[in-house]
Amino acid sequence: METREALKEEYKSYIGRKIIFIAVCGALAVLLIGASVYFGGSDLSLAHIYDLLWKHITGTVYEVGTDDFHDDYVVWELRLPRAIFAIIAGAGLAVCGAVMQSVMKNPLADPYTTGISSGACFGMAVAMILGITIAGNSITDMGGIMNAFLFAVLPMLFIIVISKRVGSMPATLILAGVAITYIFNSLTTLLMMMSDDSTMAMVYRWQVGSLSNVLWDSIPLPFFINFVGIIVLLLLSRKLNILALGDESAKSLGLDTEMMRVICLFIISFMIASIVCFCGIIGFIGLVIPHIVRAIIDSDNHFVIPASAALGGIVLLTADVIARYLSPLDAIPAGVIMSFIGAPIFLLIIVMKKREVW
Amino acid sequence: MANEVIVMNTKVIALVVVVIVVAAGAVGAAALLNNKGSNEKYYAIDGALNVYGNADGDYKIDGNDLSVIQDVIDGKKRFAHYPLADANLDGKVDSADKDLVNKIINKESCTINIINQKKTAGNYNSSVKWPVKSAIATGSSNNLLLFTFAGINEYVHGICYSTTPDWVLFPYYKDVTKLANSSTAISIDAANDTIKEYNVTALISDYTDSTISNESEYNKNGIDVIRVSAAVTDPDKYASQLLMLGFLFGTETKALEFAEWNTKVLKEIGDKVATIADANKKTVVTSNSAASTKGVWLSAGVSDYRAVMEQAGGVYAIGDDYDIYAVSGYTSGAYFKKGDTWLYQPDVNPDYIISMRVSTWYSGTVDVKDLWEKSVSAFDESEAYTNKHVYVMTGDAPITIRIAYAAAILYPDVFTMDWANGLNKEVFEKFYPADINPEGKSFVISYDDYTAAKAAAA
Repeated sequence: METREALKEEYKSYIGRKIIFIAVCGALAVLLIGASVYFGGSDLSLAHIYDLLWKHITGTVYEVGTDDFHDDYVVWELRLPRAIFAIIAGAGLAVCGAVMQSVMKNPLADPYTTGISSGACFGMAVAMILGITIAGNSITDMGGIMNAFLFAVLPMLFIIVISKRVGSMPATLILAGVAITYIFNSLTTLLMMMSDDSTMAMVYRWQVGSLSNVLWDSIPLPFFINFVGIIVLLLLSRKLNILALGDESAKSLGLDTEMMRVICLFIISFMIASIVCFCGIIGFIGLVIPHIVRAIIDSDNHFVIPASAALGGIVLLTADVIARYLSPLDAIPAGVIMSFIGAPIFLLIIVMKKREVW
Repeated sequence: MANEVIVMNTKVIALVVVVIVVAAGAVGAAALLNNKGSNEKYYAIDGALNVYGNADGDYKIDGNDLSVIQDVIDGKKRFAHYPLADANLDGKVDSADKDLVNKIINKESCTINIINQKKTAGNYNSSVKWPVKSAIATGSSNNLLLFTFAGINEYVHGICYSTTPDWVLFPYYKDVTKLANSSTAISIDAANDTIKEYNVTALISDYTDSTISNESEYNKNGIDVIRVSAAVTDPDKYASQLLMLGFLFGTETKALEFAEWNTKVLKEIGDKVATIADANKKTVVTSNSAASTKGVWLSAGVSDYRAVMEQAGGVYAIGDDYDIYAVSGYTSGAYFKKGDTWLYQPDVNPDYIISMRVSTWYSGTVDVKDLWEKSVSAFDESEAYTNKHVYVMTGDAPITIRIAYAAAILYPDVFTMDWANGLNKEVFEKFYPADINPEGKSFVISYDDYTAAKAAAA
């Protein structure tokens, strides 16, 4: 009896830690948004920034050309949407990485290593350079996203086929993903060579990964797609946990493993496409964040998914803040900073060999 | 005898009368040519001021434009023939357009409409708060030269650049706030402090489409974006750039004076080039960079550098019918390095190879040997090199001076280097606020100059 009560208490504590971790990450994300609006090329005090935000929310309109008009524009139209997008993109990429690693049973799986981000970027390049879109006529609306989605799905399908033929050895699948990445990067470069200087510059910005062009109209589509995607994946988390037991065990528990993989990977492709459309390729978030989360709260996808979302948003926003701090003239893209942050952490994870989280 | 004297006197009187009449006629003609009032100079340029309200399409907005607008209103002239008559861009010509033009003539602050330009997308309309008293700009050397000749330097309070401009040429801009490490993009956040400090209302940008891609955001922030093509070689188009800036910033006189000189010189060059028979025209290719691991970049297709050579009378050896894409995979040019042979093939094989390089020409401290070797040594197996028809020349000079030097290189019998040097000196004496004296400095490096420098260094 005492043992049962002790076990119950321990279990509650175990779950409580996870929930607290998620809650703390969520709160940190909100606080970080609040702090990130301070950083930028224009020297504005935090008090003035919050005064502007409050006045904007309460409907104050400034005369064009006044100092407050310009400051309000910088804070409300540039810094705030950029911070919010960083949270959305970081959350989406981290969740995609966590789910990909579960679905593919591969600790090295993430949108970049599997070629999905490069495929999505190629889709954007096709839209921008060749003007070919599946739907819509602008790279900022569904046209660009559908192009990015289509070319994000291709590497995904290839990975699924490869995994059936050569088994699910992590190294093999990631090597295949790297090969796909090279193929799509080469195709993108080929398109860039055929384009004029202005288009080439735009596509290059996508390849590097930057939040500098994010505005309010960049928010709705990625927010909607990633919010819905994360909710759906959260609802599928129980099945992801079953999938993590292995295909044989999962099938014996009644799970259609192939269909589950396809559904998850399609959702992931859509989420990644919506992010790449607006900020380009940002690597390492999907690779590193799930590992950190699993090291802290284990690998139950019920908690890994929301925790990855919160922590991913924090990390990408932090990377963007660092980029703006180091280069107030906006010269360093967030993708570059993310690589500097993510690569050492990934090496650390490899060195520490936390395979037990699987 | 008396009759002879009378006849002689009559002839003298007649002669004097003729002289007086001719002189009076000459004075009258001069007065007419000076035109439109005793204080107004007639500027011999064909470039147009691309501002709506300039109904007659000349170089300024004045009472003549009001007359044209009235004629359109009265049905005497067709709107379609005078599109600039619609000063307020509401799709019709009426008294509101006259009111706006009157405001402009009376120098009253107002919002005007201009024909803006993008290199690929083409012309489009923009509104500008006028007059412009404070601006920021993208700071390529060509832009800074244009600003200087238009007389607007003091109104520009922030620039962006990737390669540091030559502060000897642009001393004013040395102390101007740097807004970005790129020559094509300025973050509004980074520019905000300068915008507030100087009440900036305009951003002057290069007309390349990818430059200032956040133009709509600047417009929302109350900053009007004005695009200029500062490297254009056509005299009328260059005059239009000067006229636009002069009008917007209220420096019309200075801008017009330079536009007139520039147009005169380019037309003189054009007239002399026209006397050269096609059979005697020289083929040329040009580059503007140092050799990299990939080689030296040779321009093709639509290129400002190619335009300089063609304006100087050269026939560009990498013509439009040459498949440069097959050589390099690019449509805008190709790299050439030692060992490559495509440049030596009969369908290219230029008579001249001219490298236009930015360097410390106006300081007189160019390292001749180093610059030569980095710029043109890749071509040492070419016929042009063998014939000593390879040159390195200034890429910093005003466009017209570059054309003059290129013409002097290609056709020394028609254009002399002394003439080009004289123009170089003249432009800085007459139109440049900074104390720059090109005299005694060299702006063209020939093969002989290189060998002398090499021998001196040995």
